[in-house]
Amino acid sequence: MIEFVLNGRQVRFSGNPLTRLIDVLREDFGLTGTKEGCGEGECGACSVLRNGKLTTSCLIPVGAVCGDEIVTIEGLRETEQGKCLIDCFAEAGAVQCGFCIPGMVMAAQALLLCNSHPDEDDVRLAISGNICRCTGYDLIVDAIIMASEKGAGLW
Amino acid sequence: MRRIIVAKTMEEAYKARRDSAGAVYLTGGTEVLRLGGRADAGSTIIDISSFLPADISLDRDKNLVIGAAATFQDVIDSPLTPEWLRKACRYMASLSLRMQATVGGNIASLRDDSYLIPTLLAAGARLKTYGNRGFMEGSLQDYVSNGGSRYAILSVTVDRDACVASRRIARSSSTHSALNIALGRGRGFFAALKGSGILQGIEAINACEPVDDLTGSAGYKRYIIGQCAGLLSQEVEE
Repeated sequence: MIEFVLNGRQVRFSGNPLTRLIDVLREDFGLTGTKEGCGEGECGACSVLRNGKLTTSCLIPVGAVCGDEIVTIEGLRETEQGKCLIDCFAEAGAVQCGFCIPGMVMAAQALLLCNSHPDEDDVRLAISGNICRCTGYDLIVDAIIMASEKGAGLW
Repeated sequence: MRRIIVAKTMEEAYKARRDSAGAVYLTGGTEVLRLGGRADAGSTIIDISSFLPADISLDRDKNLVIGAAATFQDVIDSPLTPEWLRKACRYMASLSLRMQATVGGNIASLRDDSYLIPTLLAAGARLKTYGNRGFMEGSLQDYVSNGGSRYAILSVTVDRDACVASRRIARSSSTHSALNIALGRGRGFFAALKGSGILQGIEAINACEPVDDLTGSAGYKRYIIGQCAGLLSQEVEE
């Protein structure tokens, strides 16, 4: 039995411990906000926070997160920080097809947790593991900087 | 049967691996389930992340000692890291991957698109491992020549003053590389060539017959080997 904290709730998984974390999140817990792009850890669409650090859930076997705290986009959006980020992404027009956005928001959250006043270089580095095939990076960067300004004090 | 063993000590981990055919060690986790990774459907995974060293320090001879669990980003961030090694770590373009992927894991997975192995070979890296005879030390060159081993890598030692130049060629920064090649002054060329494996020495590289795959055609690979070898020779001479 694998136990971990998922979006603030203690959960259990009793299946194959080598199942990828993304599959458990999407199929067993119905958290389909976490997307699968490349399945190789390169595109970042599957990003979640594992103990506060950005992690690609398509590479991690669920057995390895036993006892850890996992936050997905569904958990983040219920927080003031998450609401601020989502509002700023919308206001900046950063969302095109939207597929990469959950991962981008998680990457932004990971950045803001350790640097609440990032500059453009910091933001671009923080989202370097997240690929947007609509290539809308500039607006995503704007959105994250906007969130850091509008959400001053939240992080 | 698929299972994960969370080992508390190196001895426990080694025993579990010895007793389980096809078992692999897990630390950062970026290679085990990745396309082309070594875990198959029947594997046992042994999590050794809780006790594996992750520190980066200097030994008595001022060589750089990197704990096997140090991540690529740890190596980049360390003020002790020479620029040629920092460059090799930056070949992994994604920050989130760099914060997960470990030096030991990249070596042990012996991938034909390895980020670090050519550079470390060109620097004459040595490994500290744990196996059936306890703690051992040996060259990375021997480790690679033997096709890896069932021994766990504990640390990597390199000469900070080594003169190493490298190039990584891929269709994009985030995809598997067609070629990662390094030249060490006094040590020669070492390459990770997609589809062909880890090649040690210019003779092995020249004798290799590249294969067509998604990273490029055989002809393209031959071309970039020649081009990169020329550039690296110039760079090391300078």
